[in-house]
Amino acid sequence: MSLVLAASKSTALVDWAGLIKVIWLSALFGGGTILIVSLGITLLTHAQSTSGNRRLLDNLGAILCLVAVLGIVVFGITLMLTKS
Amino acid sequence: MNSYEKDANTPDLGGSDSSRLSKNHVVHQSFLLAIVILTALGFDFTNGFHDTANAMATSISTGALKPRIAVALSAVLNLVGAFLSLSVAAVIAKGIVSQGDVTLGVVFAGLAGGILWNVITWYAGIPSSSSHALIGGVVGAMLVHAGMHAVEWHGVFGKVMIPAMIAPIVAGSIAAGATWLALRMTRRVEGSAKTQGFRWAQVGGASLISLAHGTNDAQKTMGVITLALVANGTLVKNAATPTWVVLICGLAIAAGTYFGGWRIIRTVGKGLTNLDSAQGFAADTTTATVLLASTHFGIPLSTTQVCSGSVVGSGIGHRVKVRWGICGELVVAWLLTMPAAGLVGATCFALQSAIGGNLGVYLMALVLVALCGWIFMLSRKRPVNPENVNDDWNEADAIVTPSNIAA
Repeated sequence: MSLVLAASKSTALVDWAGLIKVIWLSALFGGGTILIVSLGITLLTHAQSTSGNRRLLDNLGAILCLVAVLGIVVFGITLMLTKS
Repeated sequence: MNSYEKDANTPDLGGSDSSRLSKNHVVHQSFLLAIVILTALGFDFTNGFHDTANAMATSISTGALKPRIAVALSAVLNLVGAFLSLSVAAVIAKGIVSQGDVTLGVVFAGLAGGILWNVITWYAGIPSSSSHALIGGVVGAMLVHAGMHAVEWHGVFGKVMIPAMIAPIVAGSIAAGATWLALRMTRRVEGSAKTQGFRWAQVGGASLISLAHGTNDAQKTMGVITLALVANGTLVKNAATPTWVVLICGLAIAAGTYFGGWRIIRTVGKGLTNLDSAQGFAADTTTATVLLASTHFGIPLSTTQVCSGSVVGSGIGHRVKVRWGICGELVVAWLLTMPAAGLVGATCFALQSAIGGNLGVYLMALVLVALCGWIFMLSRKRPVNPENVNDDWNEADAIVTPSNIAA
């Protein structure tokens, strides 16, 4: 029991909970950004080989991807500015 | 001098004796302060050229940016980042050494250790952490100055040694997955469209890393200079960092960044693995997200180790050759950074104490300049510059070869 209490009072060398948050948030935002940019490139390329409404939709999708990436960049800059 | 009052949380940098009221002492103290500020700026400069690779090595390697344009862009963003630093803490190696035992001599010796290790690793083309080098230098100097009790070993392991091992693994794993995802998503996109698209995206990621570097690393030097100014009595405690300090720190790190650190850029961009634009984009995105997330949650991960891990991970994700021998050498260098910089810091402090007074610091400053100049001259024998930074990697470029060791 005393060992358990001592262990609960000791300070961990590394903030593992914080580290896990870093890992999953990095994977989420990193993976998300990769996904959006890759989708944007695919749509933009596809738009060049199609015509009509399909072309319009592809271009619109690519623009939305660009806006989403810009949003992520702005979020990143906001994080930099608001760090303690 | 104003009425600066020392308390337990503020380092005594040698300015609290009654004798400092004498004119002679004030002149010596001011000269010492000037030496420490110049050394801090020197460290900031080496930090700049040492860390250019973290942001721009992949963009240069994949051809997303021309070498000179890449370092110029990174320099400007580092300068902008320095001005975005909103809160500067007047501390050095907080949580690692007892702040009450820090003296001006310890700060100088710590900076000397950081600078020398940065210059040596730059010469060898090794991307190592400038922050860890500075911390190592300060710890070494502190051990000589105040003994074991002044070093918080819990902090050394928790903030430096263990994160040094975790950072590249975390970044490498995420980058490997990100690269696989990028290639999978764009597998039906033909050649140049894919390359151009990823190149543009890569420039965005690299720019974000440069900006983040300016906000983090320039701020550290601002903290060191502010600490010296406060303890000297030039600034009152808790005073805001003067604009001139922000400006000179921003300019020093930007100048260092523009200087290029081509040897390290070559190792990261060409030595670890062969990069294409999709890999470069995945590596940069991973580096940026891991750094921003770790800064936000206060987890001390080194930019250098995150970046190197990302580059290696992108090679794994693309299933191309990774030069594990070089990776191993980097890991050894990372583990050696603290002890080696600590040894320099300890030696510097011991020598300046043995010589005595401010003369010791002046002489050690001259020795530091001479050593850095000598290493710079050595580097001219086998220069790496914007013209050859992207040449194909060969065995002669390896960091540790029998001929390199012999040389």
